[in-house]
Amino acid sequence: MASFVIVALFLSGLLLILSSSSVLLLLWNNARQDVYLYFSFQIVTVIVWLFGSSFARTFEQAFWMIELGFGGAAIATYLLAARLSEIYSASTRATVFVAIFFIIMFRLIISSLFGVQNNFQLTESGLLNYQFSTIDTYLYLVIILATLWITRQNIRKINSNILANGLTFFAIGQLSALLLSQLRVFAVSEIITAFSAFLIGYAFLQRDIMTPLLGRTRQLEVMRDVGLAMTSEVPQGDVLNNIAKQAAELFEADGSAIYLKRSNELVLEAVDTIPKAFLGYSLPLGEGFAGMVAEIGQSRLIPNYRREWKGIPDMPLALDSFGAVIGVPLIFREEVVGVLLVINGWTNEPFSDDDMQLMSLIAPQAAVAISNSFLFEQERALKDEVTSAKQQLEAFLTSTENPVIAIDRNLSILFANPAAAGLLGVPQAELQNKPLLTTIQPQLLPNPRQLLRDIHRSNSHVYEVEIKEQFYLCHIARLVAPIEGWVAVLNNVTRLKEIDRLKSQMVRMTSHDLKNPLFSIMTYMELLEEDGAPVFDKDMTHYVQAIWKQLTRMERIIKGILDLEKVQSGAPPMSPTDLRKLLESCAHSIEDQAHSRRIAFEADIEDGLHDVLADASQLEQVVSNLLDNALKYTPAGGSIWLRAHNLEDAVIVEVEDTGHGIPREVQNQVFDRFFRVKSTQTETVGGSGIGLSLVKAIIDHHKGRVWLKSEIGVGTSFYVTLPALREPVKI
Amino acid sequence: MKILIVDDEEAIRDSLGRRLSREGYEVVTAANGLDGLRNFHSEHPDLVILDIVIPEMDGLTVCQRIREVSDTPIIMLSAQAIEEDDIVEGLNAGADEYLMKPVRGNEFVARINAVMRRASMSASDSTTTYDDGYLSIDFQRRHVHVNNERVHLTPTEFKLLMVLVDNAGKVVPQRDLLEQVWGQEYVEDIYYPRVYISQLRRKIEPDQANPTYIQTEHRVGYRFEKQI
Repeated sequence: MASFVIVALFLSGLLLILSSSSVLLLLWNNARQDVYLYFSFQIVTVIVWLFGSSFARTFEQAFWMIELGFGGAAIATYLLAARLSEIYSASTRATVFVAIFFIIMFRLIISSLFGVQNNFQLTESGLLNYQFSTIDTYLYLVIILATLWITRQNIRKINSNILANGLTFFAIGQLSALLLSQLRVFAVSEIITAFSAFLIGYAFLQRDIMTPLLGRTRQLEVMRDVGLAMTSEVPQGDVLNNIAKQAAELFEADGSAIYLKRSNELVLEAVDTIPKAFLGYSLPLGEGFAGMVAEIGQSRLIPNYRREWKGIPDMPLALDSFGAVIGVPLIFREEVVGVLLVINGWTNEPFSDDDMQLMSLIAPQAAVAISNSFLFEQERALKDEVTSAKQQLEAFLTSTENPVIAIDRNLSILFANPAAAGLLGVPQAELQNKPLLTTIQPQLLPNPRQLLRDIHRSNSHVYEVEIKEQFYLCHIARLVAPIEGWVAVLNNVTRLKEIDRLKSQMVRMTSHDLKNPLFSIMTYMELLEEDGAPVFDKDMTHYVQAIWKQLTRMERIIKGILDLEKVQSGAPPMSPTDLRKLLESCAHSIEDQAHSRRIAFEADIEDGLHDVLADASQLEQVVSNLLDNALKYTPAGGSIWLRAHNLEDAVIVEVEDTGHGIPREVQNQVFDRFFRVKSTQTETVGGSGIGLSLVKAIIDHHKGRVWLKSEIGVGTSFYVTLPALREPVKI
Repeated sequence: MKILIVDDEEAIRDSLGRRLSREGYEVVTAANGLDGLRNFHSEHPDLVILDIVIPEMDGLTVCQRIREVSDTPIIMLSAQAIEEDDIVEGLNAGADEYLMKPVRGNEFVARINAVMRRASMSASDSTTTYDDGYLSIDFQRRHVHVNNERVHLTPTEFKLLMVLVDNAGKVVPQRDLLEQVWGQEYVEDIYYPRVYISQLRRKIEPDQANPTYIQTEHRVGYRFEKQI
């Protein structure tokens, strides 16, 4: 029988060692929790009791250890149960502690005064039998029963069946030691209490270490899911729904909602378990709980929305149904992009600060995920747009009849549309990446010098090319980033050229046909004038003069039309021209006319004026037309200036007069063919309406520019610029 | 003095004819190219006024036909020319003058007189001769030989050559050339020397593309280089 006791004691010791290790773990985890102190106290006392029980079989004096351990264990268990049941406040707990202390002191004093002796004996077979004194027994009985009662009453508050059962078993173990000598003798009570202590330790471990650890694993899983959602390129809607779902699941909440910031409002974009019909509900910025969170940029917990939220509701029915709500701002690059709400119904449990803490951990990832998906969405939309634009462009280029060819900087063909391929007689697919120079006949290419000069000046170059008896106007433009190169678009102008040729022919023929009668009329008029001079009266002379005036005008119009036709019909032979000399000669030729009309004329021509590449006779026509105009429209007493100066790489010629001026609204029409300014002052001035259009045509031909500035009653200035020729004319 | 007017427009023939008659010229007319050529041969005019666009045979051809047999001065009178090339073409066909319709009576008469003056130019104002073995010029008799072969020069061509040789070794400016050869009225018609110089070169230069006698001074004028 004694060997059974030894085994029982050994087992108890083993269980207590395990319990002690639990104590160490718990204290290591959090030494400040008083509940662990009570539990450590309980374990220490049980160990003392067990030591007592073991040693007392050898040394009778060790009985005090049994008593100390047993009593201490009862008190420690009571305190533990009371702490777990939260039946006392901290101050009451202290009071109870002091009270128990005094009871024990009182008990010790009584036993020392009256020599209360506990029964203690070793049996023949070496078994230990002991009996607490009656007063002790009652005292312990009260404490143990109180423990049992507290425990059983507060099972819900203890919130762990194992813990409650551990406490219960512990109390039962002590009760058995107190009341049943048989169990006491065989150390069964020690086994029960040691096992109970082990259970309590296990319960604590599970509650305070294992469960939170599992919870953390779960949190990590959620964080991982959010992270995954963040990196996955899925449509934004899915990401939002995913985050809403994860958040709701993580906190076992009744629902969740995500608002996103749109210009000056928050819009409900995703929900979990909340009716989808609320999606799109919007809150003005700063309004609603979500709005407040967005505005302050910090997480907020509201324990009871229904009762405590006084602002406008975050969504329909919120004020009727919401209980605890956590709101976290979704912040990306220091900017609030939205708000995540996790919501419990008012009948459900409130959230803890830990929950809010965790939410704050998820929020940044969610914000990144949302922003990423938003960017992704934008990128995809952009990509779609680009693709569709590209397809459209391709469709245009493919279906157009105009040949289009694009080349890169190395002169390899990047693109040629079917029209271009057809024109070159090469299948479209074969043109891709082919070097331009070996694919296209050299005579179809532009003059490289002109091309470079035009491109440098205006980014485009136009030249005419004949392919298969068809005439094309080839427009070359520079391609800019991302593809650097050139693009050529060809327009078939064969028909236009034919029409133009017919027009020119018609103009020539008409002018020719007009010139013959004009010539004979003029000749007859001369004869008439000579023969009639002696008999003409004043009126008749006037008629003759009027006829002459109109004939001269007619002659000028015909000449103007032909001149214009001449300029437009082909490139004039250009040669280096001494502009200064040309201007001086023009100036010289109008001096007399100006003088006779009492108009002051002054020429200011810069020394060393650049030469220009020009058809001298055409240029002379330009200057004399401008000067003639100035003479025509400047009243007597006015002034005319002819000025010419060098610009950086051009020459500017200015003809200024103090004439009637040209109304602003018609200033851009004066270069149109047959346009004449109609006004009472100019009515008497004969003009064909061709002079300025001829000027424009000639200057265009010389790659120059002509424009004017004019003010009614003040005068008009015409300006002509011509590209300067670098090398001077050699004489 | 007899003038032949070839023009298909009756009004022009009539008005111009009357105008010239009044100036003292005898006028004969033709309405087409063939008649014009025929009249030229039958009437022996001192001057021909030719329209270019005329039926039967165009004015340029008529001009060439006349030049084949005669140095008679010819004035082209056209309504058609709008480009210098047209004028040059006319002059190349052998015309002495190219006028564009409409032209004023006074100017027209002045030009006719100038042409006549050139044609009737007295040969005695220069007594020099030039002979370098290849080219020989007898100003007195108005004979030019190239490689011992007689070459026919029109009066204008001869006058041009004479002015150049007179100023041999010096540049004769275009204006001076125009004034001295054609007359004061012509100083603006700068294409005349160009056309006639090229005609002259064709007739006297060993290699027309690389002239040795008549040198061009770009944009200034021409210079005769003696090869002696």
